[in-house]
Amino acid sequence: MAEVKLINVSKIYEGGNKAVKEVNIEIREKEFVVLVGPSGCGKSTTLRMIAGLEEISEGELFIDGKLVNDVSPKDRDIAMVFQNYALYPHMTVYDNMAFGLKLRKFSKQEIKERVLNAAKILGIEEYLDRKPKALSGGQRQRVAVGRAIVRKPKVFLFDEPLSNLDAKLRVQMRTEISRLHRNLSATMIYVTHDQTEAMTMGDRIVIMKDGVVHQVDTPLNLYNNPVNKFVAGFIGSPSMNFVDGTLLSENGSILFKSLGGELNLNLNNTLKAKVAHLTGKEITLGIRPENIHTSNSGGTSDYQSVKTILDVVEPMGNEIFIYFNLDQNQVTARIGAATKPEPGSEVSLYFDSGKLHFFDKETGLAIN
Amino acid sequence: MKDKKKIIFNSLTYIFLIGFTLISLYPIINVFTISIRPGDKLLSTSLAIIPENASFDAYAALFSDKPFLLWMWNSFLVSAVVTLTGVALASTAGYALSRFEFIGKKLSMLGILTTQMFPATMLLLPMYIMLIKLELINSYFGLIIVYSATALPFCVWQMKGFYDTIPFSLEESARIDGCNRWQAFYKIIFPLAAPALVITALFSFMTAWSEYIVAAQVIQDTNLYTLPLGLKSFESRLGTEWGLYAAASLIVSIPVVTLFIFLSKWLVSGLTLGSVKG
Repeated sequence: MAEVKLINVSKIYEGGNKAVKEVNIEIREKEFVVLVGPSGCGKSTTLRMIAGLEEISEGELFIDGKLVNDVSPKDRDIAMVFQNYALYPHMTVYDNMAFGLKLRKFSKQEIKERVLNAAKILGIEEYLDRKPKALSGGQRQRVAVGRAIVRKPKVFLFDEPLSNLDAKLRVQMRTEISRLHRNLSATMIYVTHDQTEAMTMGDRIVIMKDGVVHQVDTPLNLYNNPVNKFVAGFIGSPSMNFVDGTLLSENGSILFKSLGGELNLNLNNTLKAKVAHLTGKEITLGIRPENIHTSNSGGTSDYQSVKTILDVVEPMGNEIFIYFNLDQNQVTARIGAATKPEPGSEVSLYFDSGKLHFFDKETGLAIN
Repeated sequence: MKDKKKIIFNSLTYIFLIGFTLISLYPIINVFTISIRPGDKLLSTSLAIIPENASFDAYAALFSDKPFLLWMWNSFLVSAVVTLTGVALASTAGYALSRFEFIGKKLSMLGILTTQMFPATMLLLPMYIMLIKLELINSYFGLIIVYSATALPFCVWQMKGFYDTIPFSLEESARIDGCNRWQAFYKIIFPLAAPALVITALFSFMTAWSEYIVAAQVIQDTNLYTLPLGLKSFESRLGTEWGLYAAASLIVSIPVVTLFIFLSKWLVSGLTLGSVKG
């Protein structure tokens, strides 16, 4: 197992299009790091540069302390699982898994042992004689993972490996890959556009947008302390609500007043200290859906009531998402399934002002 | 009512198909009849498929009196080399055009396509002059060069089209598994391109096997005659040996028909796979 270090790595395509911009990431040994971001953010390109499938235009890439910018993919000692599985259609499952070992001149006995062992771990022993076309999507993905693990590489790379699977299978494979990481204690780099996958699997998550790394942190830190509005909005489902407003100083307290005046929240002392210097300025308030409640029972003095009319109600079974408007911004709240809100009805909602986030309106950076 | 309509429709379909089958089969049956008709008669008032006094003398004469086996071997030699050249060059050139970006790629593809727009006979004279200058007249090498040049453009285009349907990730996966670029090509992509290779091979083979016009210009030595030239030699000022001609025509078609039947499975999948991106 090895550490992977990217230093100012950039990818510039013909015509000057910079797909990845000066990325700096240090992936520790045995760590599971997830690269996540919307389509076109450069996450797959970054992974492909680590794999050696894309040339690095600028910067340096180290695997296990060795500079590998000019090392071919076969000599980087990595394994990769592709989104479309990339199994060799003319080979059986066994041959698919053994292919990399044969090229590396392993003995037949060693190959057999490794393939059977991997097949056992992944539960694909009975399919070893089949061709990929005779397998289901989930089975193919297992073979693709098996082909990677037989090699015992320094680093595992996953390029959106679960995107082609149905929702149920995706959850199942997600836990299997997490278990595999635990059992193999391997360095894994995983690319996805699905923030749920990122949150549930990664030791650390790298959030990217437009080729730029916005934040590298643990899932909980990303959730609780996003560095900017993009990260705050990207992580969490439903995503964080944003309302633009002004901070006003009144009788020693600081009040957030939305631009349309429909939301007025008194800030507690902790927040006051953070934003006191911004009174009179326009900022963006962020609040997660689970921090808006239908009652203040069990709440603290931070709960502040806002009257509104419900727009849409989405019962999810275990919880309900309610949608309403504040200053023409759609706001979502996640409430308990026991409540029975009606669309169009007027309700009092309680904003937990202790859980507010503030962002600079211009730059989008979090105000800490 | 519905059933009646279906029966009428099916009957009409069968009549139509049988009609066209007969039209297709008639020349072959006719040639067969001529080949077993005694006395080199081309025309006859009889409609019998097996004529009176039918014999296989013409077939026997082909092998005993004429150097038919030599012509066959010559044709096979030329066709085999053209086929191998076609497969080797089209498979690699098609791959390069499909996978790599290089200066002049579009121009060369357009150039290859343009060559298909000229009729072969129009190119005959310049090719003949070139072969004279290269001293390749009356040699198989000259014939092979012309046949390969004729077959290659189509083969390259169709190989390129087929490679385009194979996902890049297969080669990428192979390269990560331990292949270099060449290994990724011949261990992974080449076997997957079998249907397209079959078409390439068949097309190249047929280009050479039954070609007459170019061969008639390039080959003059009777010992170097290929089958079409040999067949033509049955024709003389005084008369044509129609029995031998017909018998030889049928034998000549056997290898191609056999190849077609043998490779038909690949052929169909090759023709469709090349056009469907999946």
